Amino acid sequence: MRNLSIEEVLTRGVSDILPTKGGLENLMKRRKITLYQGFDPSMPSLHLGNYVGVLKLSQFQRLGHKVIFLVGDFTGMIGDPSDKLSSRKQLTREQVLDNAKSWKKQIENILDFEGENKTQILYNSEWSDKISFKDLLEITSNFTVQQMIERDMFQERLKLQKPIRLHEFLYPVAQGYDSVAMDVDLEIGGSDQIFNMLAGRTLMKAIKEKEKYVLATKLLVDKEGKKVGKTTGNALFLDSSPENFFAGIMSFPDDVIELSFELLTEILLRGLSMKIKKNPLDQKKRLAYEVVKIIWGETEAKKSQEHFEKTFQKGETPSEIKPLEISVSENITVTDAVALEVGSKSEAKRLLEQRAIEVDGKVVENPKAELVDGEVLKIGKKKFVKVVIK
Amino acid sequence: MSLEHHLDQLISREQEPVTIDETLRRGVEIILPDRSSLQSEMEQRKVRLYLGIDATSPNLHIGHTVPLRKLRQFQDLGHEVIFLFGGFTSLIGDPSDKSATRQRLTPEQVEYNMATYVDQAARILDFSPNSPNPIKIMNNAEWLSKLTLAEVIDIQANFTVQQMLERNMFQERVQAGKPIWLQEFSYPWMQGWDAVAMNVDIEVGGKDQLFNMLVGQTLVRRYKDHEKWVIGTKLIEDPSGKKMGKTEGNIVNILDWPEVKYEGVMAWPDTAIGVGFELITSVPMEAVYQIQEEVLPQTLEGTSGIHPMELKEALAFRMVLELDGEDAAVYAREEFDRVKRQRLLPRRIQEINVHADSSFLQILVDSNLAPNETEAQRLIASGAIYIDGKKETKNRNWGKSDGTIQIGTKTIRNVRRIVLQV
Repeated sequence: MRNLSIEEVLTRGVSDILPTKGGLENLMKRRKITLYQGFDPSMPSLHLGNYVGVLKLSQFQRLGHKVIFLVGDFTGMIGDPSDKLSSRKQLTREQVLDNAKSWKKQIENILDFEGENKTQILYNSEWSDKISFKDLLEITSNFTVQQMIERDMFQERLKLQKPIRLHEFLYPVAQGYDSVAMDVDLEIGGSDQIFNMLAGRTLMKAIKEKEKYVLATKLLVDKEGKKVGKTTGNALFLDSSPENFFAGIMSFPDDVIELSFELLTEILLRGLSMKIKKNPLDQKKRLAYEVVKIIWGETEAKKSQEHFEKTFQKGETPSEIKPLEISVSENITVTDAVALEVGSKSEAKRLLEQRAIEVDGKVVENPKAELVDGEVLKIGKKKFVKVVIK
Repeated sequence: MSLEHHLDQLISREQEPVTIDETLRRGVEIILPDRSSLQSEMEQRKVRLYLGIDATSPNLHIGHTVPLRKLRQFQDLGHEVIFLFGGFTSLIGDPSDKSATRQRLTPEQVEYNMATYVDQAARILDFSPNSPNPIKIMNNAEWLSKLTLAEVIDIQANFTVQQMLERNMFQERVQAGKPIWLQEFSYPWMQGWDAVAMNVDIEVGGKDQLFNMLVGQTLVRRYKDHEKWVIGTKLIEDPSGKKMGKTEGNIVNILDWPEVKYEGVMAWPDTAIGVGFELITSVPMEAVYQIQEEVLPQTLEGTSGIHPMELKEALAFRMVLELDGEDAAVYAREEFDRVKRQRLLPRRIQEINVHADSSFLQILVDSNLAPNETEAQRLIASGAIYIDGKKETKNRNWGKSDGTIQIGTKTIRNVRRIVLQV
């Protein structure tokens, strides 16, 4: 992958740099900086949104800056105590380490984990577990209640008279403390994370008397502001097969192609919008190819493209397709298996109601039917999945 | 029998063994969730209860004696009583107070404060190891300082921001655009967590502590799965709701000289006499009711033949008698007479060493007659300051002699003897 200029690193796919872009630019010219992004380990795999951050981290790394990949296992392990209804299990230390290990695998083509300037993987439970109540009171004395409730999400709930639980104010504080513990110069995150990232800036100033910069990447959203991937039902996870990922990107609406190039690739953007206008499908294929290439390499990118063209563009029959495999545990119901593929249970139910799910060529009537090893699940018109029971 | 004689009889009556019923009524503003369930619980078994006292000042004041008396009644009934010292807050200070007026104490200071609190509370509670039902002393730093962030998050999930913001103190600050520091939302449940850590059945406190005490109720229900009763005691206030002895420099402390305490109560309005007998004496309730319902109203109407002052002196005398003994009460009464009626200086006066070039302003602040120079300046300008009995309206240096400095002329508390340092 090529080296981007400081200017390009600080503009491409970037929505905000706080307090100023100029300040960060000068700092990066003077010395190598330390930067990080935090990732929530409750997810079994990294997803497309995480990928945007990882790519941004790698751009800094290629310029010689020190990158920390932070596993936010502290919040992952305590879970959300008010969320009593969800059956979300709290992660054990082992599960967290396992997840982090597979994440590393998912992104080892993007971030350098071996060389001289290798990515450091840290876990925030290392310091968060040790924060005593006394420390916490000291830390929280840097924030006011008014600052917290200014946030849109809280304002909305105040208006709707929905409860805001007291501990919710502690998440930004805990996240902010990460910056202090790692003594970083810069934090990267999606633009929906700006508030939390600024909490870290406040603490850095108060505790270390140091400037911490915040870089917010643009969100991959369509014209209505909805996150791409969530609307299409194709949650894109980095642990899926390259073919699946390729097909997922092909399902993006045309209006996000250009933004996707900016966020997901490093291809020069000049003249791109004209090309997209002329032939969106070709450009989308190029986009998918580029992304798969970055994550899995050139060979996989070629294979995925061929697979896509064979399967979806020439309308071949299912028997000729090599089904994609999913590993599931025993006694899994059709609903749960579909949910695994499409990313949400409600979406799975909707598809089932629309009779868009088939098992071995038969429309599924009973959503609770259990799958058997070797059965082929057809989701919608184009997606085939072979069931492998672990 | 004259009313005057009747009064003497009333107020000199000995304390009577207290009943459960009286314990749950006298000086009690409210019991939550309700009185009757607590009463039947107490009839069936010994309960465990506590009063928490914050360690912000080394002095307990007369307001503290109300819940302390409540504790004593439970002690006498054989229930398990905990005197809880709020050591945690004094260790952390108040980090939001950037002006740092609320200093963080050293562990030694906390130790000292705790010992002096016990000494002071011992005027009312029986701490002696030989007591048939000794009081337990605890310090909440023991459990609060051990809480982890994960535990704090779990505890805070029990409360909503809206609940907190409903409180008047916060409402006012939101409206005034003044900051509420985030950690201030932790203070209410810190006290509540004490109830969980000690696994108590009851918390006793002034009714102004109700919010915090109910937070404890929520937490005990959640973490200990049983009921926690809250007893809110009445505040010493006149019928209009004005608190007694809260004005600056006018707080009646338990450790004040008896004559100073006596003077402090005598400064209360006449209308507070009735509630005074109920809250700061152990005059039997039957007599208190008579005072509240007959003697005081008639006295205020002028139909009882007693001057309100006499009734108040009876209250002040009884209060000192119970805290410091009879000799002290007699002495205090004499001093009050000497200063207020005979316009003499009190016999005991705090001394302060000054230099000839110390200004009045400095002296007023150094001797705690004024909290700061601005206030001292105001006192001088308003003509409240007397040097050797003469009014002084200008600030100047003390000069080359011993003497006295007073706020007003007839004062026991606010006079200092000046001793010139050479």
